[in-house]
Amino acid sequence: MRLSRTFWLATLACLLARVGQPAQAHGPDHEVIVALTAEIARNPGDPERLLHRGERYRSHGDLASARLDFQAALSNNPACHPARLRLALVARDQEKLPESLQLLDQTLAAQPTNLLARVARADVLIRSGRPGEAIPEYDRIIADSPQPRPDVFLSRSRTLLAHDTNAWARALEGVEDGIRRLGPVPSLQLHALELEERGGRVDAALARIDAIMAGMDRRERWLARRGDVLLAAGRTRDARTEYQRSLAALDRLPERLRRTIASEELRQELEAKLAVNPSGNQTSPSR
Amino acid sequence: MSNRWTFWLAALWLGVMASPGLHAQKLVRGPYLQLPTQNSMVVRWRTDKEAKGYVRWGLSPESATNRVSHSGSLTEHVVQIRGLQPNTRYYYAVGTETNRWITPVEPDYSFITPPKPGTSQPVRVWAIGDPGTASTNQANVRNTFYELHRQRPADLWLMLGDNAYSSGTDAQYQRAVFSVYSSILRQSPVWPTLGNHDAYHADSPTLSGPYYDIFTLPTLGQCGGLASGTEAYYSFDFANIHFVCLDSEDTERNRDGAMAAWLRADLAANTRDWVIAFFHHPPYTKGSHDSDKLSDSAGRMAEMRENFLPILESGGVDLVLTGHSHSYERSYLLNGHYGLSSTLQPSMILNAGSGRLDLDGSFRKDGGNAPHQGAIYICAGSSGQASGGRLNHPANWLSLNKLGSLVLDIDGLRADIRFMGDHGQLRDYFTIEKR
Ligand SMILES: [Fe+2]
Repeated sequence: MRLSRTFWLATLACLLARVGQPAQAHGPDHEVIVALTAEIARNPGDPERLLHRGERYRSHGDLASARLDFQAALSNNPACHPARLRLALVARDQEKLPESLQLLDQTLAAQPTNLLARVARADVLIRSGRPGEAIPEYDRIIADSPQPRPDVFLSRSRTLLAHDTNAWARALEGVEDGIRRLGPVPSLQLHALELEERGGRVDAALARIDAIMAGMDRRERWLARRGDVLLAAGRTRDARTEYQRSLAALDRLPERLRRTIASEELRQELEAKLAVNPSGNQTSPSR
Repeated sequence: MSNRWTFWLAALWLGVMASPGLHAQKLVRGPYLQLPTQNSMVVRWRTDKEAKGYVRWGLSPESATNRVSHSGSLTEHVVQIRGLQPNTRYYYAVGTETNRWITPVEPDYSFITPPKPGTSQPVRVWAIGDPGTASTNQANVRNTFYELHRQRPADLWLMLGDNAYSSGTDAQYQRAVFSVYSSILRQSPVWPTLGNHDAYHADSPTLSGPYYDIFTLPTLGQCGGLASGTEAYYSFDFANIHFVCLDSEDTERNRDGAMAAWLRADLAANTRDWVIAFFHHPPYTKGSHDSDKLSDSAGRMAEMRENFLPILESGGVDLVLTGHSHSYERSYLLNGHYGLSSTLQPSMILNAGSGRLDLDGSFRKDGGNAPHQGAIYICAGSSGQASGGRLNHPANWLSLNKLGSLVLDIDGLRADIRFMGDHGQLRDYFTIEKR
């Protein structure tokens, strides 16, 4: 009787404890963690297994458990750079930025071409409010990667501009390099367009739009964007021409695309712009 | 006596050396098909020893005499066949040296090129989520689809992530993908997305690891859509469908990141009738993962929901396919539900019906990829195991702790979607029709 009550109380306690837990590893992850825990109990301090289990914890957002595993792996083998890097990532995600930076510096001192460590270092520097120091990190990542991600080019450009608002030309040069290496990626092309507009380079901005449009079946929005660039530059007459070209492109769309809400909204927007910007008040000469 | 033995041994040795089958390279993996366009196809395979790889191909097994190779001597063979006609069946064999073919030329080794983009014709798509358990469950789910595939083959198939448990190593891919799906791999191109388990040994920032080594994915919009500049996320067209693959695991998921900017532009440029997006982390799940818990999967489900669903819905997305939870969860026809499950409003449910023609009718949408006309979100992560959960997300019309995979049949402006079980069961079905 007494045993049975204890059993049920213990079962209830276990169930309640489970209900209150944060999301835990599931399915195969959970099984892997259980298996690794058993192996670690048999070989205490095995860095390989600690690293492996820490990664599982980290992927499930259990940063505290991940930290303990990476720390244990590192204290058993101070040359275990993967553990140091992962500890740095945990520290970053726990907002312990100075600790993260120190660990990343140690990793990069031992492995200067470790791209993941360098990407993380740039990230931590930005989060630490030190954008100027992040820029050379991005340069290095781009130089060392066989195929850098579009994100790296974007981040470098945005960091440059955050650091120095007049650096748009240098930022643009970097984005241009990205387009050369990765192809006509719209995330980079659109950013380049933004930079041209920021630099007041109207014709260059228009050329960017033309380059983006070249590969597209639907041009109406890009023609409208050409109009906006021209309007902002005071070239009202040219802007009107572009808005009219955009309307014509809308008219040429197949009916199923022409009568959508988005197309109708664009048409209204264009008609409104044409109405409030009558022809003839161009402030600077047409090209 | 001793001379006779020497003679026979020498003869045996010469026989062994002369036999093409015995010292030729052995096929270890594949062939499998990648990067299909209306005029080209990439054929990949692996051999046990290094060699120069050849593909021979033609319009019939007898006329498969065109020949193309890669340069250099490799074990990982990647050969692109060019100069093909759209929507045409080609027969092929792979080999490593002239006249030494390691696959037969027979109907089983053939593929059909995609039609001209925009063409309206019947299309079949198979989608599997979290399949890679290398278990009987996985084989049963596959066998159920193979029955349907025999009657009408899939034009392409999608892997929704966690393709090879438990860490996405090359050996695990061999066991859970190449050994399990060999017959469909050589007939229909596969399009994968990265899951968390694949990412234990693969990195999107450096595009490295088995996942990126195994798959050849478009970075320049070669298969339709706009250039993404990375294999981590991409788009492609097939007939009148635009497919978008996002990396919910290992690429920045912020609103002003490169993936979001690319997606906006890609969808704005789309002129196909259907938009189908796929990625690993489900926006609405109460299965083995909980999309309301911000600590679950380090917040990836919430980030995809908050940052990418608005872009997808603005781009007129029709279907969003995910995995991660090992269950089947199918939403209502939804629009604008970007918060926790507690923030679901009746106005966000554009159609609370079943979508079944024989019950209360199909889901109806306007054509032309008009924004915010409603999308169906499906978590189909039970193609290798079913792991339960509370399965009570209010955005979902149906939640099942059952094994299975998705079969999409799209013809013109009608899409019929079925969730098939592990022993031939039809577990769910619905239809979307566009006007
Ligand atoms: Fe997963």
